[in-house]
Parts: sequence; C-alpha cells; structure tokens
Amino acid sequence: MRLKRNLNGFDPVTRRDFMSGAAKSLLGLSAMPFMAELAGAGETGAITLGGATARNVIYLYMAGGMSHLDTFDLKPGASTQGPIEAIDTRADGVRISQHFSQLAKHMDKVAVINSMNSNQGAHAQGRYFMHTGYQLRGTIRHPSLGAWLERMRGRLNGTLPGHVVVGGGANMATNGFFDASLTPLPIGDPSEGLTNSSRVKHVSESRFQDRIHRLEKMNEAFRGKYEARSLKDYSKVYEEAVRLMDSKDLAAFDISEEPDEVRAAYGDDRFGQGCLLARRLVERGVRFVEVVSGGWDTHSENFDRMGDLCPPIDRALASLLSDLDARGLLDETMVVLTTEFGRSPDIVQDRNLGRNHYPQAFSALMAGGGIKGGRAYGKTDGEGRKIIENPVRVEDFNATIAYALGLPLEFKLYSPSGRPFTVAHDGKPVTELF
Amino acid sequence: MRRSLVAIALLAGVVWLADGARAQDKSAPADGAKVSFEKDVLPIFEMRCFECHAIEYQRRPKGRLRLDGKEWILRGGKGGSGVVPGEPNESAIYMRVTLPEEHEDIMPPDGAPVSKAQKETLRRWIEEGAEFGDWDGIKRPKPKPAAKTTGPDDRFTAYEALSKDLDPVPSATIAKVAKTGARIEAVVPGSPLLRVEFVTGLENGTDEAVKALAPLRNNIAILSLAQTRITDGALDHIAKMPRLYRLDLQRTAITDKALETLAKQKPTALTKLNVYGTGVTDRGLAPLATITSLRALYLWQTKVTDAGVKMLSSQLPECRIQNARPLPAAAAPRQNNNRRRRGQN
Repeated sequence: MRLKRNLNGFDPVTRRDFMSGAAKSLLGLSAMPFMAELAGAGETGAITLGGATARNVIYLYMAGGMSHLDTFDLKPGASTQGPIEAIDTRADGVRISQHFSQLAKHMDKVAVINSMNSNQGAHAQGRYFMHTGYQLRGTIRHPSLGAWLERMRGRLNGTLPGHVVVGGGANMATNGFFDASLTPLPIGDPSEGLTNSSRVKHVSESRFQDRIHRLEKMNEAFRGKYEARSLKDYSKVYEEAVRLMDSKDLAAFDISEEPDEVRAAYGDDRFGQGCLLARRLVERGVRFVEVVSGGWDTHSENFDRMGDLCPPIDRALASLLSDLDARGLLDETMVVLTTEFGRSPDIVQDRNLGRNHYPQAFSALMAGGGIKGGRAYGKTDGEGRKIIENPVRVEDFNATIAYALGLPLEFKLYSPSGRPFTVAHDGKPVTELF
Repeated sequence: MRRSLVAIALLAGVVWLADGARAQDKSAPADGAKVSFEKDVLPIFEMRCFECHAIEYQRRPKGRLRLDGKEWILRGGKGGSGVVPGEPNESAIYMRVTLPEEHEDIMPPDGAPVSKAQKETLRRWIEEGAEFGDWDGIKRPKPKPAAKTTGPDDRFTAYEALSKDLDPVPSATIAKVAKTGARIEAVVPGSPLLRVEFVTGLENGTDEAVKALAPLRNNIAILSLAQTRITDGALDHIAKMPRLYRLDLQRTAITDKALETLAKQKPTALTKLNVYGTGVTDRGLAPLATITSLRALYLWQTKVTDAGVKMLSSQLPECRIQNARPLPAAAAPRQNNNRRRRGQN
C-alpha cells in the first residue's frame, strides 16, 4: 500500500526521469522522453473536435530578453535609440531594425505587437510566465501552451510526439501538472535529429521483440496489483517508443533530406536548422514546435551583439514564412516570436553600451494561422518606455494563441491538488489581430 | 501651439464675415466672368505660398500642404483638405489668409497679408466651385498597389454561411467512413462542416477512399489529400462536394485534367486550392478562371509559367496566387565567428 501511495504522489518530473531511466536500462533503448496516448485520433482515423484558424504553432523564443528598441520598436532620433537604424518593410508604416532586411520582405505576413507587458523581471520567472501564463511558484508546476494544446486537442499524427522543443533545455516548455505523457520532446541539435531512436545494433529484432514481450508479462501482474496512473504511463513509454521507431514519419526529424540551398537559406546555425525542422514536423502533423535562440541577455555591448544575434533570426524567419506560405501551410500555422521581456530604454554607458531587463514594455511577432499581417499593434511612447496604446499582457498574448487554436479559454482543468487552471490564465485574446 | 482647424474655422469664420462684408463694398474682380484658376489664383499661390508649399522650394512642404498641383491642393495638408468647393469658410486655404494680421496662424506667416482683392479672388474661386480648368500642375504619384496582406480572415463568415440549413452527419456514418483511414473532424468545434484529411497513412488516400467519402459529401468543407496516392479520377468524386471551401492536392499525381474536372462542376464555395508540387501546367490554369470564389491558389513547384500566372491573375484579380518561394541567399562566411559565442551570459 505504501508503494501505491508513493507512486501516486510522484510529481511529474521525478516520474518522467524514473521512467526514461528505467526504459534505457531495461531495453537497451534510449527512451523517448515522451509518452502519450493517442488522444482521439488513431492511425486509422477517428473523430475529434478541433481546428479554428490555426492548427499548428511554431513558437520562436528569444531567451534572455530581446531588446524591443533594437528589433521591432525603433524610435529613430530618440535618445534611447542608439546606433541601430530603422528600415522600411513590405508593410506600409511598419519599420524594423536594419538587421532584419530579409524579414522586411515578408512583413506583409506579420503582425508586430509593440505593447507587450510582463511583471516578471528575472529570467527564470519571466520565461516561466511567458510559457505558462502563470507565475513561478514553489508549490506547483503549470503546463505550457503546447501541453495545453495536446491535452485539449490531442495529436494530429499518432506516431509522432505531440509537441517538440528545439534547442531549449528543460526550463522552457513543460507538461506542468499534466500527465508525464504531455512532456514535450526536447531536441538538442536539430542537425542530429532525434538521437537514439533506432534499435541498438547488438540487439536483434527478434530479441528486441522478445524483451518487450517478457517485460509486458512481468508488468502485467504488477499493474494488476497496483492500479496507479503513473504505472500506465510507464508502460506507454514502450509502446510509444516502439511505434515511433517503426514510424515512417521518423524521417521528419532528418533535415539532411532537405536540399543544401534550403538548409543554407534557413541559416547554418541551430536556430535556422531548428526552424527548418519545425517546418518538417508541422508538415507531418506535429502541432506545437518551439525553437529557442539564446544569448539575448545583452547587459553589455547591446548594439554590437545585435549585429550577431539578429541576422540568424532574420534569415530563418524569412525562410520559414516564405516556405510555409509556398506550401499553403501559413494560413493554418501560427508563427510566434517572443521573449521574456524587453531591454531598458536607458543605455548603460559603463558596460560598453548595454541594456538591462525591462518587462514594462517589449515586442513580439505573430504571423499566419489567421493573423492579419502587415501592421503593428500597440504603441510605446517616443522613447520606448511606456505603453501608450493597447497593452497586451502575457496572459493576453497566450490567450491570443489559444484563441487561434480554438482552445476553450474558460475551460478549467484541475491540478492534482484540485486547483483550477485555464489555458491562458484568464487572459483576453487580442481579436483585433485576426 | 497650433490650434486645431476646427477652432480656426470658428474663429476665422467670424473674421471672414466681417472681412467679406468689407470686401463686397469695394468690389472684387469686376466682370461677371468666372475666376480662372490659372490666370487669377495660381499667381497668388506662386507669389505668396510656393516658398513653403511647393516642392520646387521645399523638399518637405510645411504642414504637408502642397499647392503646386491640382491633386495636391485637393488632398490638402495635415489638417485635411485645403479647399472645399463652394465653401470658402470651410476651406483652410482661404481661412488662413483671412485671419487677423496678428493671429499666430495667419498665412503667409511673414510679410504683408494677402491683399483684399486677392482674398476676394480666392473666395470667389472657391465659391464658384474651385475648378482648375485645364491646369493640373504637378501630379501626385500613383499610389503603389498595397502589398497583398494575409487576411483579414473571413473563414468564419464563410463557415457560417455554408453551414446554414445544413444537418450534421450522424456520428455513426462518420465512424464508418473513418475506417477508410481518413481523419474526420469538425472544421471548428460544433460546426456541421467537416474537415477530412489523411495525416498518417498517406497510402490510404486513394481514389477509392475519396469515393468512400460520398456519405459526407454535403458536409465536407476542407479536404486535404496532400501527398496521397490519388489520381485525376478522384476529382470526379471531389467535384460533387457542394460546400468544398478548401482543397489541398499538393504533391499528388494529379494533372491538368483534374482541374478541368473540378472547374466543370462550378465549385462555388471553393476559396483555397493547393496544387503545389504537381504536374499542373498553364493549360490546367485556364479552367480555374471560372472559379471566381478562389482567393488563394498555391502553384509553387508546378509547370505553370509566369505568363500563365499573369493571365489567370488578370482573370481572378482577387485571388492571391502563390507560385514562388523566395529564400534569402546563403550567408557570406562570417568574418568574426567568435563574436556570437561570447553572447551567452
């Protein structure tokens, strides 16, 4: 009885670690760090409700805090601007940083939000807030948007993971208090694709099947004795892993299938290749892919570093929008670019012109998935300090994504301790963007 | 601080009444002939206004008002139109020159005010309809056609219209059809309209499977057969779907014949058609011109030519035709590669 209680009381992280570790050691197989049941749709088709303007989300996250003044909310001539200049774009009246010359050609597809507002000025807290819509607390872990989507709408493609994070590490998207099966699949290096996803060579196919079979036998008795949810999760990991190993869609993870010029166009760096991978995954029915770009915490040498940080984003995002559009995917795929906070309008002189954290006002982008592009929403004052028009709180931003995905915003799901939570923490969607 | 035009209009209206009364005493251009813009008005503008309000003298005309062209005058400046035909006291050009001399908004700002006779000429010209005769002056550049933007998204309106008087398909029927391998769901939660696709098991997407969709045919709004094994034959069945709003045939073996079959059935709801990565040619585009409901057509990686696209575009001006994937050129090798790595802190 004590064992049963303990299993039920496991928090998701521990349980997941326990299971993937167990799978590795027992099977000679590096377990996929996800395990989900086929919600609704099976491979042979089924009925589920779903689909609004967006079916998929590609969520680009600028980790560290992207300076709004030096990217999408420039204030030419203001004392807070620094040396970066604004350029015209394909969208009338939308001007962006000189470092986004490729993206400028696609701004007719993009809505710039220049009135983002957060109340979290530290990285971990800001990041958590942006991903989940809730503040970081010691007592609970909230699910991020991808987990909500998978939890409420299920997967499109039963053999691939429901959502994927590229280059993020564990502190980005999370299943929160949802089942461990809703943990996103992390991909470290997009060029390597999904590592450890094939049978190890020294285990033959028949021996592998044999092991799985025997394991199932052993588990059967144990599961009969202890009816814990976590135990079911535990056996699902094998089923899912094996199914993925056999899946033809596994090739989605292999970006070496793409022509060289396409890979070059996206950019020969992790973010660019991550965006290319995101497109491939979305094309095969993975509904939520996050791609992370690091290094935006420009406390020192802000302007110098913008010249390094922006071009990979410029190239990757321009390629992604163009590619999605050509394939007819853009109008159902929402591309989001966001960050935990902006950077201070005041330039820190003694650190080679740096900028500090600034959650009061910052910028984000949305494109595709029903978003009406080619314009800017919200406004800051002449120095980029204060929002003077249409503020968008983090909860509202998330609600806008959820709204596009057709998720019920008021629908409550309960944490294990019985507390109610909603997908975007009661944020209001910015419907003017559609 | 400049006052708003409304305030000026009120204030100057009074001035005009007084001023106009005086002017009438004295007599304006005597004869009953109409004021000619070119002969009577333009010289006043040239002498007193062009210094600030003509591109020849000012790269950035003051108050964004230009008086050196008919279209510019009618467009007006910051405060709106400078001339309201027939209404001198609503026309900023007249109002501003008739302000009292000490008023901060009087035009011209320097030198003597415009003479009484000139004011009267302006007044009469406006009152008589502010006509320009043959004079055009400098023309405004034709506005660039606005880049076609994505959206506004009207799919909800379309879904609403299409689902009027439409009964939902019984779930037993859906379940039966789903056995063919199709994934079937409502286009938006609660709608009787259906989306049908083959996400996994693309090999299940055959002409037979499309034929098997017949029990759903009235309700299908979105049909995706991307990358499936269908042929032109599938279109015989697809064309019988009266509410088809969006059709995705990308990367299939279909040919021009498929589009011909489709167009023949006059799919009046069809708004988006994706045939990217197929063998479609200009010949296939021709029949599409009859589908006037089309708003988006995806033709990248087909055999259509620019001429074919141009032709169709002129026949379907409201349709956004996507036939390219412009990608940025490969980046030049980085000069200073260690700089990026320094970024993490």
